[in-house]
Amino acid sequence: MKGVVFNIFEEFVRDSFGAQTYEALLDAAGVPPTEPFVGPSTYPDETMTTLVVTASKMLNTEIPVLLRKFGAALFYGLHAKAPGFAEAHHDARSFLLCVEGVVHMEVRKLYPDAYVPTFEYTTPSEDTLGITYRSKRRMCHLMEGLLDGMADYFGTTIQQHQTQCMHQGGETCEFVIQFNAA
Amino acid sequence: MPAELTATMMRRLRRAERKVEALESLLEDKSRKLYVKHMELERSRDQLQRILDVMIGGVLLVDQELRVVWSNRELARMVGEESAALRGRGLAEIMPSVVAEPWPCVLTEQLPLRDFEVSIVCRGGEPVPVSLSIAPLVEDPAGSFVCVVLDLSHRRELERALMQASKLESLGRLAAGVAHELNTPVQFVSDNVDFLGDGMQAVLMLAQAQGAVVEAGAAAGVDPQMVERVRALQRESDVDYLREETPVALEELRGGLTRITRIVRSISEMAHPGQGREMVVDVNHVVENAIAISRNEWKYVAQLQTRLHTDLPPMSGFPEQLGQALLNLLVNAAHAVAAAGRKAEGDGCIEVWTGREGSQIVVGVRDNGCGIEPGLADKIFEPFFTTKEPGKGTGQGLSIVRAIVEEAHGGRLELDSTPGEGTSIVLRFPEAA
Repeated sequence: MKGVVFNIFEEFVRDSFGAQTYEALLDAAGVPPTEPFVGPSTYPDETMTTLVVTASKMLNTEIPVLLRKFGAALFYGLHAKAPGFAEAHHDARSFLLCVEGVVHMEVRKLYPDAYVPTFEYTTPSEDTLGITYRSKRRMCHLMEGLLDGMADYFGTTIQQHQTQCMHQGGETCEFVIQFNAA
Repeated sequence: MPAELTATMMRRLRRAERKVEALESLLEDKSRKLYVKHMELERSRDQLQRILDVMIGGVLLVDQELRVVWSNRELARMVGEESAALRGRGLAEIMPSVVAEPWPCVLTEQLPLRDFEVSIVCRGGEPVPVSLSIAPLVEDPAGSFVCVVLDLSHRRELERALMQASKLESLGRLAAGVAHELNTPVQFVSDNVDFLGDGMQAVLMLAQAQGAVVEAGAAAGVDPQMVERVRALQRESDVDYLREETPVALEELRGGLTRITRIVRSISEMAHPGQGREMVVDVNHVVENAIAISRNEWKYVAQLQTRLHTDLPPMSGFPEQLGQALLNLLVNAAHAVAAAGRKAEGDGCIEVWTGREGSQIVVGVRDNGCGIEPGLADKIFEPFFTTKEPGKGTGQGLSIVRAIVEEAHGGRLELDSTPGEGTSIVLRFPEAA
């Protein structure tokens, strides 16, 4: 996983729970406290898993809930690094439709060693979008948070639910997103 | 500040310092990689530029407004301007007809167009016929088009020359057919001339005997009126004159017929002698045939002298091809002599000779014609190169000679020419093994 995700995670924990909590989290997770995560570098997925699991215990928050909150922060953190992707769109739906073909494509070009999930889209109606999410990391809860952050950024209301989840035996996670939901 | 907070700050500070170090290292690493990539890109760009500059075809990049964005060296050459001077110019100025016809189709369909024939407006010269191919530049935000332009001038010249050569080939075939058809009448005319000659000789002998009989009769008292009538007939028929001139006329007739027979045979031999098979060749015979056939070309402009080696060994080769080569050399020599104005001065001279030099058989044709400019000596053996005015030369003569001598017979061709003084061409062939 790229260092930038770890850095945004650090900011998320510090902003939400305080700087000392993050230091305690590092100690509890056994992560060397003076070793930084450098944005463009790559670190083991397991390190992030350990940090999230430890944080869940420390903060007494369910992992899916924690990941969803982190996902919303991650959207803004990534947007700050590359604002052009979202700024090129006027609405959440059109942005979401170009994530696979543009955002993920650009990440692969810039960091050939980066692993990104794949999206497959279905468009049952003008205000509904289906996304089939595939990732060896199975971070559909983080995806939920990213969708929350995106909706917030575009000032829209979405309703999202998963009709299938890899954590419940599905081969993929199937998202149905309804835009401008009342 | 509480100790716990201080410790937290110190850990963050230490992490931040390490991060700066790591980022510096990363930056250096990326800078090095960027430099290497930059150099690769430069090399690649330079190579691409060199390729485009040496390309035989012209390359042109135009924007959607049909203005020239870039052009390679060849295109600038075709237009007769510097590449830089073409930048920003409208395509309509360079290829006026393009804008009217193919372009709207390319713009609408956004599909490549291949081999469309148009003309380029060349500065200070004739329009240059070109073949134009256009393709939209894929994934170009500016929506540019790439045009590839091939100069068709040389191809057009070749087509014209080929057409002329084809015409001459047909004429050659026709001449061979005519020669074949002439064979039979020439044969019976010759036979009948011989027959008439023999008959005339008998008649004249008879007339002579008759004269003697008449004179004897007159002396013996035969009716004088009858004698006088016979004498009058003898005077009217001018028997003495006939006796004197008939053998001369017959000799001239036979000479003319012999020449006709020889020309007909030479043309036939050159057209069909060995069906393209290699055979033993009598070089002097081939030379004499070529001289006979080309007589009409040289007889009005030059005296032709021959110096043929009397003891030439046979060589292996293709007599019809050798005849063709010598015919081309003789015709060229005659034209060169005429071009030098020797006809008016009456001192045109063509010399044809054969000889042996070591193990080689040598054939030479020398003239005192206009000669060849030094700068053209290498070009005159190229196919379709000619200095003659349009319609007079196909530009294939000497290229055929060289192909026949060097490729078909393993020989060598030597050229020695001085402008204004004349040309000597020597063909060297290996003797038959």
